[in-house]
Amino acid sequence: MEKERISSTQLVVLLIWTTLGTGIVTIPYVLGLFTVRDGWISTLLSSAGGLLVTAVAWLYIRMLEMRRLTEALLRTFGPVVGRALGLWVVFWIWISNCTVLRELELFVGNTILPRTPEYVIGFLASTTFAYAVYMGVEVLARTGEFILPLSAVVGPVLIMLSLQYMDIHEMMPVLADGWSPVLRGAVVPALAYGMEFGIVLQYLHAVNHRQSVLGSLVMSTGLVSVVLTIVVAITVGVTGHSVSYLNYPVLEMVRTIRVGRFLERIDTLYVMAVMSTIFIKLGAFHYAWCEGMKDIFGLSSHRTLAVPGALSVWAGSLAVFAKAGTVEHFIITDVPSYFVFTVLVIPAVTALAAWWKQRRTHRGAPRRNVA
Amino acid sequence: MIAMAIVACVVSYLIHRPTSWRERVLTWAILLCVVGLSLRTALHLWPNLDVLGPLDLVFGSLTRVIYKVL
Repeated sequence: MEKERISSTQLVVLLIWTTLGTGIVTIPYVLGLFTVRDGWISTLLSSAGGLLVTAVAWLYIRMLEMRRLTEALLRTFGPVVGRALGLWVVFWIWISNCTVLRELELFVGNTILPRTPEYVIGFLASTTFAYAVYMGVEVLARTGEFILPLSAVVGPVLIMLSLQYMDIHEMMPVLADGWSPVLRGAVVPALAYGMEFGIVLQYLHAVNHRQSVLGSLVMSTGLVSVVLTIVVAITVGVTGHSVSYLNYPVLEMVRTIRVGRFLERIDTLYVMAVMSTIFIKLGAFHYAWCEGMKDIFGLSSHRTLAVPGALSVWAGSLAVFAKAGTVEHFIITDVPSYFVFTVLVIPAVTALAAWWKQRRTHRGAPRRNVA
Repeated sequence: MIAMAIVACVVSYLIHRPTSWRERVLTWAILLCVVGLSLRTALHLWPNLDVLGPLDLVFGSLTRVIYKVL
């Protein structure tokens, strides 16, 4: 039995970094493919994804209490179907982590280490998050808290400094092309990144207070939505329509910051913050994967596969996403439906099956003779 | 990359030695997968193996419907 516990604050921090880690890098780029002026509306709508996950989590916790998703699948559907569904869930976590690691390799390779082979960048990242996961959920959550001041200071400073280059007219007229591009732009933020909050179902056993989980989910959803909206609005205001042609629009926005001849090229701070948050995201997903594998294969500890699993993510990120374009195609085309099925449909069906099973058990139980 | 993968696999096995036969089999299976995936990447083996193909077939078409509806 795990003794490590995390508080609701640590859960909120973990969930925020889990979504913002790659979200802040990829969402402005994806939005640029559909809409530029109204991108900020799309990110506001993205909170729908987090709220849907909260609704499913409410149903799930009501029926299955604080059991992990993989554990609940085995209990509800039995060893054969439950294991098959559990394997589906751990594969989802694994492929998500491969995508995140590949995004990190590309981001670091393109921005700060252009001559370093991508597999070396990926290897260093995977050994780091493997170590954090090996040490346990508490270490992972504390690392998330540790980098909070860095981002809480650097983020607002970068936003304040970039406001001087912002032109509000870049966002005008509002909804000139109607709602269609805005809603299409909201698909990836809501149904891909919003669904990532669903990882919380693998953390239920580790949370201190049962009542705080839903509140943490709502708070994380709101905060992520607000931060993304501000970032997208400023990025569009600063870089204008060139957002559609940039791979990393936020990075370009940060690169424009210059205070006289005194302060420039502070994009290093942004890259540091992004790398730290992606590291937390990788760790959060990998811990969930290790716990899932522990349930499915009856392992003694999540530590058993912490290092081999991280190596599989490293090798998988390069083997599955050989070309950079494959990652973008996967995120835009496959991820929304795939994540909705795995994060919303499977837990909801599990909760309903548990409810039906409970009801049948109560009906089958011998009635007391009141007379 | 292959050398890196092999060394990392051996080191990872030494860091946390599995206690039961089930853990041993699972650990070795994952480590062999790591070496296999590294071989695929470094030597371009099995170039037609598309891991994302089935996902793209099922979920890609569903997402395209969502985009079309919107």
